Amino acid sequence: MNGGDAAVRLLLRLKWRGFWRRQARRLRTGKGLLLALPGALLVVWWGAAFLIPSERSPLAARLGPELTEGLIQVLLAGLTLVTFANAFSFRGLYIPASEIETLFAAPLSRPALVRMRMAITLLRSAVGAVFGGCAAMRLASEPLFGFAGGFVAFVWIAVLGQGLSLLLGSAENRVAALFAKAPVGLLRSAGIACTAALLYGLIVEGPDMSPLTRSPLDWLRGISQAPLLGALLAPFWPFARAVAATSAAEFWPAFGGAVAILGASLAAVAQSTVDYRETALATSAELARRLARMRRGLGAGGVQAKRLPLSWRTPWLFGRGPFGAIAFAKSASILRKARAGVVFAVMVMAAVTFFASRHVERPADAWGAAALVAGFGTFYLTLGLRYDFREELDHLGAIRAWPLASWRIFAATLAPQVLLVSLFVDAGVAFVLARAGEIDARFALLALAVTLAVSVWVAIDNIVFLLAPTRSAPGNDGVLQNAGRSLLLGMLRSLTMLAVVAAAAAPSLVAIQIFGAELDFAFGIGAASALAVLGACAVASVALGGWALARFDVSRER
Amino acid sequence: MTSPAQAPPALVVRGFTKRYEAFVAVQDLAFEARAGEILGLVGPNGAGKTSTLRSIAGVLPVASGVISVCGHDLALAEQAAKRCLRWIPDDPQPFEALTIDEHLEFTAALYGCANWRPQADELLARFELSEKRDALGGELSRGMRQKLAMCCAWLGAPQLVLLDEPLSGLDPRGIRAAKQAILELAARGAAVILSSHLLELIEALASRLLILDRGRCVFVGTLDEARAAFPAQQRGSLEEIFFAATGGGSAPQA
Repeated sequence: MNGGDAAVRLLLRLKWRGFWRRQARRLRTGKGLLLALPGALLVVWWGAAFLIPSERSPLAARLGPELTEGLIQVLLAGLTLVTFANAFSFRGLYIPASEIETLFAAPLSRPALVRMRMAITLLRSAVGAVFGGCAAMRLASEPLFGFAGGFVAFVWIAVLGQGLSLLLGSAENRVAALFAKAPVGLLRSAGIACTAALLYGLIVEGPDMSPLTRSPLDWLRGISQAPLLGALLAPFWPFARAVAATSAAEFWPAFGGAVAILGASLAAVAQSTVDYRETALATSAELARRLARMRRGLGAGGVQAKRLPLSWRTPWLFGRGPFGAIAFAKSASILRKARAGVVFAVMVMAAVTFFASRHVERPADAWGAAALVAGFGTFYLTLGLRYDFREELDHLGAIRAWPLASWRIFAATLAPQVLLVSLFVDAGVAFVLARAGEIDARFALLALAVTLAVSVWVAIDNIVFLLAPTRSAPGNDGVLQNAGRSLLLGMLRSLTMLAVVAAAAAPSLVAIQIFGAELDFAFGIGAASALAVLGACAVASVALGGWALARFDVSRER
Repeated sequence: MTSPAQAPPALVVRGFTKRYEAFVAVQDLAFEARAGEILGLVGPNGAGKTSTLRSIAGVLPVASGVISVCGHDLALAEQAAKRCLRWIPDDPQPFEALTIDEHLEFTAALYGCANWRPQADELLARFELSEKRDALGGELSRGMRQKLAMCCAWLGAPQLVLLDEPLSGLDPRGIRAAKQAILELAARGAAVILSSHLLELIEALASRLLILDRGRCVFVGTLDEARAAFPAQQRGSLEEIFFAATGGGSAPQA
């Protein structure tokens, strides 16, 4: 061994020890222990779902070994495709941002760092592979063979992903010399489009293989007989054969082959001499940004703000005063960082609205469909279009110095998100009602109710966040505590919103059920009470949000 | 214009104590900063400088003691107090998605600065950001973030400006521009509290000194008064006074 392998091994040992020390320290405090309990319950429940044998016979018994192999090959190929697509996003070698400068400046050879990364990849993928193996157990005729084959397959795919990342990083460096800015996004989109077209052509348009016209079994048979797909799936055969084996005589040669492929892949990647430094730095910085977003409970996307054409001006939707200024800053963030998210959310809402409106046969059904769109839209869009205090964790110190009452800062920060979500939901509701010719004064009441409900839900979500601002993300400490915390906070949020909705709906239900009121009368009572309750809750939640913001302890950054 | 010594206090701190759970970061601190004065805040790492500044800025809650900004008690009239002051932390974080120009537009609206555009243009030119006015906050280097934070803090007519290591990341031209801007800010009547480990900077700019050590005030007054307070440093530089006041031994010989 050379190139600092001893130092790398020492570092790995120390990191491993440090990882367990930190987990143990978290369990020493009452809070850590308390939060770990629901987290552990979640993990046990999740693990049991994999491990407890199903009463149904394993899939392999129903499909037969040949088709089981084919199915597993297709599944592994799909997983590999996803892994490869990820490799496009994370080219080079991933080393955490906090370590990369030190390690790159240290007297360590590049292959030594690759080996270090491979060791970590193997450890991490082994955890995932245990679950993959358990899933394979449920497919297989012989659970032990299924687990072993599945485990090795999952580890192999992770190793392949790392290898491809390195190759892509190297290729990008060479291409970058020819093209100053390689359109990686465009190339990736083109690659995905080509793959989709190929699969569509093979699977749907192929004469004997369409799953739309034939049974799944025939489709699988067709795949196993198609020469091109057979060639593409061949590398997965030893793994699939090991999972589907019905006897030791079938299992051991296949498993030996799978282990040999894994070993050869590991050796090939570990010997890599690719100069990955520049791509690794970019990947590391990008992942650090994504992880920071995820730790705040945001999705990994929408990280980089994009410049808009200079002619585009961010609107001052809430006036030119201090309140409007805060909302303006938030609106700019939405416009520049979240366009892809907004477009995706619009597409989902459009699809749901279209689906809901298709099933409206009588005008009276339109209100049920509108309620469905309103409910789904409020829930989905407030999760999908999150532009709230999670984004402001780095700024909370500065925000606390702003000359505004904390409830006004709270309301101003959330106002653009509430407006955006309400507009989308109300547009969906309007479409459903308009298609059925049911647009009247009641729509205005429903639109107002939607806006208030969105306000309350967003406010509750942010109050909970301000009271407990850390979120779990890959690489975070305290997996159990974070899982437990997420479970408890999620339940708290949902129960609070459920109580608000129940309180808002109760008077009209009482009117209908007890007094047998006419529908219009019940609607009148229901609308008035719902608006009153939602309005009161919105005001109360803003006040509570102001309190949560005021008590937020910025010194926790220390 | 009245001299700083005669001017009304822009900041009064009395009996201020800051705790982080069991750890006492600042204990029973009392001092004033008058309009037009630059108060140099110095102390070793962990002396409580940043905790003091963040508490004055209203970032950290004040659990014990009184902080009054321009006559407004921070505990009773927080927003009125905050309207008078600006705060630049040691590593300012601009909004990732706002351009430099929009940061100024935002700050003007936040603090109610009327007719701010000419002043903003002048500040951008002074800090060499005019060419970058369309750059996004997330694209700025450390030094540019510092310059942008200064532009925002200088906008309008702040009466109290709190600066924590304001020269970090600045190039030599930026350092010169920042020093000049701090002096002009004080000349316009603002009280400036300047926290830095660069003792030469404090010595060059500050009219008075506040030395903290382990959360306690060990000296407050002018440099001449410091020399009188530490007789062994009759002709000493601020560095020598600093070591004498904080018990760090004597400064290395030049």
